[in-house]
Amino acid sequence: MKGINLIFLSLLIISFFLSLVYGQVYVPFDKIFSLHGVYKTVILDIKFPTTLSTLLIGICLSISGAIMQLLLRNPLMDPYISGTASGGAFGAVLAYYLLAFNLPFSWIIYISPVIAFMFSLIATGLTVLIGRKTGVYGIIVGGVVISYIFSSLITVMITEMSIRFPQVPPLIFWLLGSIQIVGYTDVVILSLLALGLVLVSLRYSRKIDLVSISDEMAYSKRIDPNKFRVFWIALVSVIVGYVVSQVGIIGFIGIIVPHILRRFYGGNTKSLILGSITLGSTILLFSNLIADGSLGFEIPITAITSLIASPIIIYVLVRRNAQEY
Amino acid sequence: MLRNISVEINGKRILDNVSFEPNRGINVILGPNGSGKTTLLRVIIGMVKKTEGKVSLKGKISYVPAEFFSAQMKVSDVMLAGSRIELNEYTKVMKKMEIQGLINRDFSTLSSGEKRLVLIVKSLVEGDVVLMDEPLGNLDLANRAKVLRILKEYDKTFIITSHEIEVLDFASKVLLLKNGKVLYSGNPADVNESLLSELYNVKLRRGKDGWSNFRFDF
Repeated sequence: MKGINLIFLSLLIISFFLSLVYGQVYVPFDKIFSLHGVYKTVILDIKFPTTLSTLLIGICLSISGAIMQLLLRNPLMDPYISGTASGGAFGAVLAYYLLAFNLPFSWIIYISPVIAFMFSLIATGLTVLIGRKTGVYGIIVGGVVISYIFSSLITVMITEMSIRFPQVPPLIFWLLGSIQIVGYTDVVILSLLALGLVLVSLRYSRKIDLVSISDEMAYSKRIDPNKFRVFWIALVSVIVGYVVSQVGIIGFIGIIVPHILRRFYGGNTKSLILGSITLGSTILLFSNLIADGSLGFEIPITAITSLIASPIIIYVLVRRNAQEY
Repeated sequence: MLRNISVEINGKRILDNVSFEPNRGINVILGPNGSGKTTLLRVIIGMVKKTEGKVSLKGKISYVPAEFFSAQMKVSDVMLAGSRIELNEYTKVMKKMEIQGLINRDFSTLSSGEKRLVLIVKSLVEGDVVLMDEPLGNLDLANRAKVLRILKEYDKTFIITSHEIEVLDFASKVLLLKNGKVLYSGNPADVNESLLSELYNVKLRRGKDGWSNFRFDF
């Protein structure tokens, strides 16, 4: 087990430095350690905050995915499939409509995470309600439908708004995500969110394990599993809502990371959370490395993550099917 | 002690004035499908809200559900889920149940019988009052005998539902439920052929030396 910890940690360090070197602007490796002139600005104001944010977002989305899979008892859940991310992105775009009321543009950055959270919660709630009536695969289809509804509404709104307000981020940013962070406000907020999520989920890890197995067993230990789920869905919605309002929809990280971790550590909540800290950040850093101009052009990040996720999703489907019949 | 429990869901009376005072040892609830056995257990843990009545049971409650999710985690994780008890307490009972070899296996890859044995061990370690919803389902003959023998060794209160009427031979008290009503409650020795035939609407004959070799009387 120690060996794999070491491998994950080395990969994290490698991906971290690669992210500082490559991307839209190439900074030679030796220059990172003696910052002067233009490299200093590029590294300190753009590359460092973007890399740190990517790392933190990777942790947050992986843990959110793991918790959703456990509590909704569905190995294919993640904030993208459940509609949480699309709902949040819809909320964030909706906030830009406030421009129409002549509110200053700078206000939007404070208001959009709040509206994003509200719609993340609404979208997730709808998906869970559909899942209650339809079961393990129904909730996936339901989540995808909810996702499409909100994505379509985003498309309509952005198409309409883009002519009047060119400062609103473009459609492809909202639907497929892009991590471009300048300055440290986001880094501080994301650090607090990630730290809070890690600590709270570690504290409740064995309870999450229990609720993932049986409602009856939870009740016998005086845990109301329904209230417990609502609490976690709200917490995940706060985090995903904030992430989406800053970087658009980043899909599938919450599926990729827990499934790789289960191979190596078993699947209890604690190991999924601790593993997400190294592997969640590493996978998103590598994805962003490809997305953020290393190939000579920029690619929306969900295009990369969905390519990584698809074989894993197919594997899970086939494996579950083989178990059930 | 369960006193005058009634449960009504969507205008339908699922349990009707059910009272039962469990003894130490194995209390068995028998009844046809849909007679309210599982609902009664769920009332005890607060999962189903009772319309009327009172539940007062002393001690920690643990529960073996009839259906559960095959979580993809190690058996040791399942044991420790929601618990603050040391793992070695669980391994002791796993040895007794002869399933200590499963401790590092992935719970989701076990057979349905093995999964049930794992949850039975967990409940034995964690509860003074152990509720089990069809614990003998999916178990082969040897495992059924083993579970019943081990339950007899414990000085705990077991309340178990079952469709295996051989359990009557091991029970300290019995509750027969039909359509949410108590058909009989009391000493298992007094449960006779006509009572069980009435319970299940099928004629039964008791075996020579107990209920384990009963037969249908067509």
